[in-house]
Amino acid sequence: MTTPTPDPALTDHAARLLLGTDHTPATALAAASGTTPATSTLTAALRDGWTAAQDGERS
Amino acid sequence: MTVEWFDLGQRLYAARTGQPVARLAHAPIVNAPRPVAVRARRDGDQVRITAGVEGVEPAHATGPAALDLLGTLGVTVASDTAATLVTDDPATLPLLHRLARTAHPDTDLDAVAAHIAWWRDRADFPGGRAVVETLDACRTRWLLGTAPESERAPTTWRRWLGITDDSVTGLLDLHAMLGDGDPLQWLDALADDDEYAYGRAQTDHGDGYDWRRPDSTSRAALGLRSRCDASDLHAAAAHRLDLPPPRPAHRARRHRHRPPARGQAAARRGHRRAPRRSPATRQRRPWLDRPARVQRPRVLRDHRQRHSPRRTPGPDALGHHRHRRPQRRRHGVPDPPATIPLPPAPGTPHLPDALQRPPLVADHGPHPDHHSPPRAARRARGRCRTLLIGSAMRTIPTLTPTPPASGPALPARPALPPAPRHPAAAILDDPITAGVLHSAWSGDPAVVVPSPPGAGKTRLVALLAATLASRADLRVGIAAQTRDQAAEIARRLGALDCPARLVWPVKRAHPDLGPGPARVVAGRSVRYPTSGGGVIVATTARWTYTDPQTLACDVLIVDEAWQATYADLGALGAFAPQVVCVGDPGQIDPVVTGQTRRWADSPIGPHVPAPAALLAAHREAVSVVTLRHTWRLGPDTTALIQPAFYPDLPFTSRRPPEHLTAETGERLPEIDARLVTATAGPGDPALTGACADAARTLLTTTLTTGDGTRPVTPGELAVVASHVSQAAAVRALLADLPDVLVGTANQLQGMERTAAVVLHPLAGYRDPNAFATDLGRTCVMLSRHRAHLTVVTDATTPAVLRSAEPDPAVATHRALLDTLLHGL
Repeated sequence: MTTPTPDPALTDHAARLLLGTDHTPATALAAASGTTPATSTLTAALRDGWTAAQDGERS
Repeated sequence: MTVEWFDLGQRLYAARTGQPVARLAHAPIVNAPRPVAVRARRDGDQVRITAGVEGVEPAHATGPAALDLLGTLGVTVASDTAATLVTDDPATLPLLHRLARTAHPDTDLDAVAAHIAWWRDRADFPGGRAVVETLDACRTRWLLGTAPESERAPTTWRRWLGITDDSVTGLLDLHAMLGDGDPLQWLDALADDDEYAYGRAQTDHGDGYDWRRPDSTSRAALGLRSRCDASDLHAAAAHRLDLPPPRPAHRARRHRHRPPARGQAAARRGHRRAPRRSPATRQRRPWLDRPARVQRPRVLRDHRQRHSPRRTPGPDALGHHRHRRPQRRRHGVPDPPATIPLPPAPGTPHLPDALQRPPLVADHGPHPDHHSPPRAARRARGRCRTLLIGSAMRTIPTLTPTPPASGPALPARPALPPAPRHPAAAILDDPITAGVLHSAWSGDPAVVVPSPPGAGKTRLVALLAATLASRADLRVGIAAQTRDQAAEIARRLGALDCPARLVWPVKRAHPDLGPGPARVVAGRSVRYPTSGGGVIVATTARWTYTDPQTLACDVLIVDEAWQATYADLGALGAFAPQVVCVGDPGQIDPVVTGQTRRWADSPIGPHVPAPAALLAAHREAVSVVTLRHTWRLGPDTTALIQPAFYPDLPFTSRRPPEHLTAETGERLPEIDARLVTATAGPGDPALTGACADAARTLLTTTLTTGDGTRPVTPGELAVVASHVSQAAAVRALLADLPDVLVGTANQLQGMERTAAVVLHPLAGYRDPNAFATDLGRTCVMLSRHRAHLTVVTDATTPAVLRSAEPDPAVATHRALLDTLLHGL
């Protein structure tokens, strides 16, 4: 199984979704991974998605 | 927007770990015994394929040789078990279908072509075993740490899943990976359905059935219903809803198959002979038999002829052959006073000219749109019945007796009192509604009544049914599309003193039908009266679960017929020789959950709105009477929506003057727009909050009508949104006002309020998708109000529409929004 390099398409996708909010793809990654606390609907949703992905990671 | 952010969180995790993330805990496909991996592409005018199976090197072939290649790989209906098509290119199956059409029917390759046709048919059944599109299956099962657009490339999946072989052999590896683990619940039922369908395909091929022929109406209807069932089941399985597995008998009923009765099952075990179905029952399966060619309708002379045992069986409006119904017992029942004997044939001497005129509704002017001159001429020959309902349809003059020239003067005859007015006689007060009655009473096999919003469709249905049942002694069935609509019709029939019966679920609370004679009946006990006419009201779904032998009627009226599919109408056609379709052609099309691409180019596909398909299929046999006035919408709203949504149905406003007045004394315009800046998608709280604020503002206004001025109450307000989540958010914000009607366009279709607040369907979107630009949904949203409409719009929407691809729906939305923002 290869480990893909950071995908610019994902960065663009994240920037589009975060348009009009106070977040950037980098801060969204920090919020999703729990580095920064989830204080808004956006960060809570990102964190929930990250946690759900941890449970559903393909082995 | 929360869903997209949740999805982004998952993608960020997958990108961090470099591993796909599972969306499903189970495999989305079942193991296939004989997978065949195929890729096809165009090579000039030919189709070139690459195909392979497990343990065999991939091979290439072009044109007829490609069919040979597939045949050697076991793709033929001569094989005992079906092959499974595995492909990662959505264009493969259409190209294979094109290749199959080149096979001649009488050659060996036709068995290969028939198998490809079976693939094409079963590709519309998600979760089945016939066709596996690996891209779709991968996206169903996993999620990658990349943008969703990148997941549409097979190379992306191969890279993330570690598949190095990019040939069709690699496709087989991917297929095996997809089927690894326990499959989703109920996929075995879908696989069983595939096996059954494969058996049918083998039988059809053996019987010489040519798969190239277009589907018959009944076959298409059955196909649509099967597709919807499969889609619903697969969606339930994929989303892990708590849905019980289908019972065999239940599934059989939905597929219009008769499950084996207990006696038949016992007979198979050799215990006793199974009861034979009567010939009539055998022949009363409308969707299993091929419909007969539709003939020009017969004009029935008298309703008594319909019940006569001498009646000649013939096809009904939809081509179904009806069977002779036993004569209804009419002991002691006098002939209805509403009818008089047929007029003599034209040209009979010694008759005044007026008696030779057709019994048209002469007092109400011509009907330009529903009687062609030849038909009027036929009617002029006196072939239809003459009606005496009240006095409005009387066309035969009364002969005044001439007193004798000599002899004693006779006393003056006292004037007869006017006949009592029938409760449903209001149908004759308007020439258009009287025209509908005339068409139905004359025996037209199909009458279509297109109507704008607020034109009185439900009123017309109630008046028509009550008149036909009580004055013509006919059995009338009414098919509504929702239970609420059915209850409303029954309520109105009760108010017209019509003893209608509303069929209702046993375990559901009965609706209040008011003080009239209308009643609710539950279960299977519903029957028409043994004598006289009657009206039974039920939903379309309920009718299609009923035995046509039990509830056969003379006229079936379909309310909101544009919400019913042609397949629904075909099933309803088994109940009556006459159908009347009343509906709004500009509103939301029927909700069909199954794939319809098989009939995408057909104007008479089973998924098409029933009246539209009926007109396309049998235009000459259908009478069209158009309602041309709206009693709900004001002139401004009419000017807004008529050109946009009803270019072929001109109508005008006849609403009495009414308006809202603000607290400041300022008169509110009929339509107002409010701009909001939304940055978080369609679910942005700014949008839903603006809707709630607008509703609260309207509660401070007063309503002025011809009856005076009074404050607007919560029960007179509606808030309409596109999405369930938007409606739920508004409902939460207005939790202290439970009487305000809040819902989606689908939920509020057919409803009316004094004032409405509409959240524009494109609000929050940055690209105009098909759902947001659906014209029917927008039409419903903009036509629920009487006096006032406030449209909450995203400030970015005009720019979104300007940047979109040119499309008729987008162009309509652009014009609408321009009018809303600048033209009012």
